[in-house]
Amino acid sequence: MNGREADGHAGPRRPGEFGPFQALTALTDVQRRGLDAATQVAREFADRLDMQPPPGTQPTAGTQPPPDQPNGSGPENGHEPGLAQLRVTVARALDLYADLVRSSFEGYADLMDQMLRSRGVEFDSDGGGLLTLQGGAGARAAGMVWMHNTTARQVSAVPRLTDLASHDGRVVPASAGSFQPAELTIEPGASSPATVEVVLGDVAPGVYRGYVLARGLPDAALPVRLLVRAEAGRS
Amino acid sequence: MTAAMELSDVEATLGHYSSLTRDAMQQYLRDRAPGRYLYDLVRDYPSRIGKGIRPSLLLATCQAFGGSIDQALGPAVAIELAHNAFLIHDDIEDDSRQRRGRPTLHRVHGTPVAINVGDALAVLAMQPLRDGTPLGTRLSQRVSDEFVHMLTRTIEGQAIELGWRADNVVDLEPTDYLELIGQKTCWYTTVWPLRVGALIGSAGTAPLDAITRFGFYLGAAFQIRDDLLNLVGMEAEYGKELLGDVREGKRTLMLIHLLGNASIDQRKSLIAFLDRAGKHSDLPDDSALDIDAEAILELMVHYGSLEFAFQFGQGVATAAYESFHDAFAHVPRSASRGFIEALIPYMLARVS
Repeated sequence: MNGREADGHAGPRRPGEFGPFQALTALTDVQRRGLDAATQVAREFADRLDMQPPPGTQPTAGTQPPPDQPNGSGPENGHEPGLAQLRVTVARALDLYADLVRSSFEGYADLMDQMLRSRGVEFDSDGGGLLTLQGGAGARAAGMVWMHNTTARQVSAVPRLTDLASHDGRVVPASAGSFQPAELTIEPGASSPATVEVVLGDVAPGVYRGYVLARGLPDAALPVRLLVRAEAGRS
Repeated sequence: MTAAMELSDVEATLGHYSSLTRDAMQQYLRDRAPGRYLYDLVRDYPSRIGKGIRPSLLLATCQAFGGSIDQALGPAVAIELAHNAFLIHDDIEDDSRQRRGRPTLHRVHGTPVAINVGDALAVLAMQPLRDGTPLGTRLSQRVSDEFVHMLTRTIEGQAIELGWRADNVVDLEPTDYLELIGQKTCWYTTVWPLRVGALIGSAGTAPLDAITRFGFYLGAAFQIRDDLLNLVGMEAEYGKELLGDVREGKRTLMLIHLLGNASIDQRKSLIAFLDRAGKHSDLPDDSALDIDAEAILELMVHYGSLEFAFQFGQGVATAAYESFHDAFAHVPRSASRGFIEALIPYMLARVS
């Protein structure tokens, strides 16, 4: 059938005759039927392979090879023994490199995640790391404070305002400030807002500075800048 | 190596690869709760030692393409676990009595429990593929993709066979049979082990078209032989009840040949038998069928259906031989390559 030499058997082997199989050169009609039917079905079998291999790894299954390469494994697809070994070596090296890059990135991401988590509980404002409040003398100044819980535990905190001081020694007492809600309970990884309000009363115009702190959270502090404008008719 | 490889050599090599696979499999079959209703039973079929053709073919192909056993052991365990899951569910679907020389799981523990054990084995089969360390991310992903594809094709093939039996489809040709076993048997018995072994051994660079064709021919030869053994094998070696396929109405090559060659009256009787077999839950008892099955075997002998299947299988094996030399043309000669080549005659000669 293909020019290969038979192994001395003109007919089919019997089960007891185990040995290296060679293509039968003298086929019976039934053997020929088996061979032809299997060849036909095998072609369709491979053609139905609808898996998409990654680019560059292999030809698409079912693609017909060039006529001079009956199995698509000839030199043109890089499977001469030496070249094939080189391709394997390069592929393994690339895989190792890709996994190294990936594991390095994952390690870096884990580190960043740990760093972020280690920051604990932090205050923040809509303006970033500084809470700016403004109001006219005799009125009220208000703003929003955010508290971020980057720990793995639930946190309860009672925010408070420190005394706010001007450059020339004037003070807005801590008692002028209040928070709504007065106490915050924040789940792990969550954030929660609170409104801060300062009653300006007899406060003189100027710039005052202080902090938002929280009872029970010694490391949390948000700088505050209070701008008090002069009201019309006042000086 | 190949020229000197005897049947006993092939079986010894199968035993070696099989043993490596079983050892690696143990970590997935450890004791845990619930033992009595699940994990003790999960270990049952894997403990009934089979030939281990699937993992052996995978490991040998990986080695032939330049890879190591360690790289391929995970997928080898995965296919063996999946195979055992398939066996449990197949035995239920066919209501088989014996598996590897012992009563089937569902006959001992009941169908609901057996279905669940099969499900558990199917899930466990995914576990060895999750550790991508030996292969790297890219190859691991590729092997997993191939695994899902293989499972899908196998289940589709099984569905077609069950459908033929339920609808009593009888107008079939040998090519229909080959297409069927290409799906239900070849994919998980030979095609997947060969493809994945080549992928791992070559780090994903081996062309797989010729490997796939070789896998189809080799698997087809395996199934034809398996069908013959079910009729004329030695029950003690074969491990399943003889004539089970006939009783279950399986569309084997011999049955298709008989349907095409029997007299009109015999064909009518045969079709009536197959109709009953396809609805086996309605049968009053199996003993009535045993007689019919014996009569069908006699008809198969009379009409030369067994000889037809035997010779047809030789034709398929000839295609396998040709295809092997395409698929492994540029793979250096080695013991593992020789073992794979020797599997071609082994498929025709095996007795279990």
